[in-house]
Amino acid sequence: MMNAAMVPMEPPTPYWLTPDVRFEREVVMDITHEYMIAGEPHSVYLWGFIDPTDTGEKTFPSPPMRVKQGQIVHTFLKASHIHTIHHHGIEPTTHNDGVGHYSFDVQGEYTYQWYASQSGTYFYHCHVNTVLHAEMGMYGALIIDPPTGPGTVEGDGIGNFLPYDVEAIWVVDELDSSWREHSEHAALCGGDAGLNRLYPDVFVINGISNEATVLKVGGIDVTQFADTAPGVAVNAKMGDRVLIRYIHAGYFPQKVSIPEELGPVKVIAEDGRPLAVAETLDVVNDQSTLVITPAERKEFYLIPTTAGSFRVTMEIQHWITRRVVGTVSTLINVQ
Amino acid sequence: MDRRGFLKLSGGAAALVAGNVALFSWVPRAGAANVTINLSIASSNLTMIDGRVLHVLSYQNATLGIQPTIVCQEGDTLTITLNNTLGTNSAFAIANTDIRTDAAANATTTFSFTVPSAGTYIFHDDLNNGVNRVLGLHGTLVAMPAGVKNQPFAGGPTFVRQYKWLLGNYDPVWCDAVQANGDNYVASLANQADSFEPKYFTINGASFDQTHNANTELMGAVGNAALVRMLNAGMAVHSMHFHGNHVEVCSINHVNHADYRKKKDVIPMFPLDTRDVLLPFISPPDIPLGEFARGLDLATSPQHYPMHCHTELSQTAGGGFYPHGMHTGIVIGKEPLTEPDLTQDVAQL
Ligand SMILES: [Cu+2]
Ligand SMILES: [Cu+2]
Repeated sequence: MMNAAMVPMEPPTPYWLTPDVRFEREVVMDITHEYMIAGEPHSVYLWGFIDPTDTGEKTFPSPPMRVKQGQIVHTFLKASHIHTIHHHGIEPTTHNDGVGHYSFDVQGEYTYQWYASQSGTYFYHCHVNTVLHAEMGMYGALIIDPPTGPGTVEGDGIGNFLPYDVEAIWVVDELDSSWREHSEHAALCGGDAGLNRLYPDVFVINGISNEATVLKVGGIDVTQFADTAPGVAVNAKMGDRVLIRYIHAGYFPQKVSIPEELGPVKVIAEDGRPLAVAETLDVVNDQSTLVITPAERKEFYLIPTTAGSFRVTMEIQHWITRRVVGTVSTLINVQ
Repeated sequence: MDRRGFLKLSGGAAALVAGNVALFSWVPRAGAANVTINLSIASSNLTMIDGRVLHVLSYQNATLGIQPTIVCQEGDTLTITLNNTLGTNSAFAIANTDIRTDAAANATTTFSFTVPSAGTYIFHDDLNNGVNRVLGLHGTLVAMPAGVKNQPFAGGPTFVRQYKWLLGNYDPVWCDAVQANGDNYVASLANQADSFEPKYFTINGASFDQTHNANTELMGAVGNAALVRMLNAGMAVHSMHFHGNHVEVCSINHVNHADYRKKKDVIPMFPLDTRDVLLPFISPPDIPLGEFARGLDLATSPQHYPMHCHTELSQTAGGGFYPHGMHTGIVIGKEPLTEPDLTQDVAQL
């Protein structure tokens, strides 16, 4: 049986090409967000990737990557412990897929080479002891725009490009604060570390919960709430075309409910592929609803015609009992 | 080795090791037929990837092993003799249909039904809130379209080979409790369904890396599409993630998609779901063309990928041991040395 804690031997990138776009990501394992848990503030440790070519800010989720369809991309990873980057939904060679058991883990440096063949919503995450490393926060959004760049999205028809006026990216996750006590190699060689048991106590969109979330911006503590946090809350005008890129980054099913007053909600693309025909969400109890399972991505498209503040709720359901173990919500504000 | 010998071998080995991969052999024929099979309902041992031996309950057949796969043609009359050796009542039900019979404790029951329309079906013991099922009493029924061996249903996409992935979860506490307290303890477990905490996650009875076998790991040259019939006999919500190729959704719980098939890299699998997908085995689309220009050739360098459940808790065994859970391989660029049983068997059509 293969041992998960393989010795990393990252080779040079095979068939090196000149990229159209290059990202750098460096692993950090000392990100902190303060969340309210059972009414008390708790420091929750997180791991992730920083962008050393930008501010190098330690964020959760990790900084997004955004490229255009048709580009050759290099993702340079620097890691002092064993990690990888898997570009989820991207289908490159084995060497560039970032799954240690099929190629190599990275302890040092490696440049992933891949081609952005299809616009859509993706994400990237570490694929080492993934059950733990993804739970620790090692993920970020990955968006491939059409060749023309942001502003349109392919969907509701293959080769059909829909314009949008407002865009949001929601990465939705549940965290179990008790998992922070695991070592990064927890139970890789056997032994019961309880990695089949998740009792989440923090529920987040883009790392922000509905209660006070304290994070660092430019080295300074900033308190944010999912109802108002920039990039989470959506502000639109009546008649705006709103695109919400939904990324499920957790392990439990998420039931999304969008108030009916916002009008019909269409899914125009899924998992980085346009749908030939958009699917309008079923309305149940005055809410457009959909259950999304781990790692699925959905592109929601809606055109609000009523002013007001509308709460979109994600119920996080236990993976076996389907009971609601927590919720996170935010607002779509329509002027 | 002739076909019959192969079936016997794989069936026998399956019962003892990874399990659940053998098929009911049947002869070519033009139309519907009467097919008979004997299944005993009994306890047995299943060895998990970390060596732990679990006491499970299962349908068994001397040739087919435990958690058998039965291949028929839609419209066939299937007659099953159920010999329940357990000290508790059992049943045989086909999920999402009204085909069902009880099988009383320590008794033999014979039951006939018409095989439903072409597709993939879970058969299971539906007693005790799913407890009997998740302790192992489940299997696969594949209904092939009449006279067709390379399509999931008439008018559906064509495939070169086909696989089935029967997904399971095991909680050793439950298995131990039934072993210690007797078969009837299943009724007590039914009242404590919330205590179910699976520690092992299997495809066709095996966890990675025992899933590198001809019946589970997907392998093929570029262009040789594979149909994967997925069945969730467990109690957890799974989310099957394919690396290397997006898959095309052919059927969700027997709703077939003949013309337009959605492309996905994650397939949700709720308990008792059956979903059939086509892995097209195209050249992975995000390999830059320049790599081929510089010499990359998938025929000489087949590409290896995982397929794993993204409910990552299922990537563990015994509480750790990542990634030895619900996970198998995909190899693009090379033909398998051994065809999956399901392809071999249906090739006799
Ligand atoms: Cu990592
Ligand atoms: Cu992933």
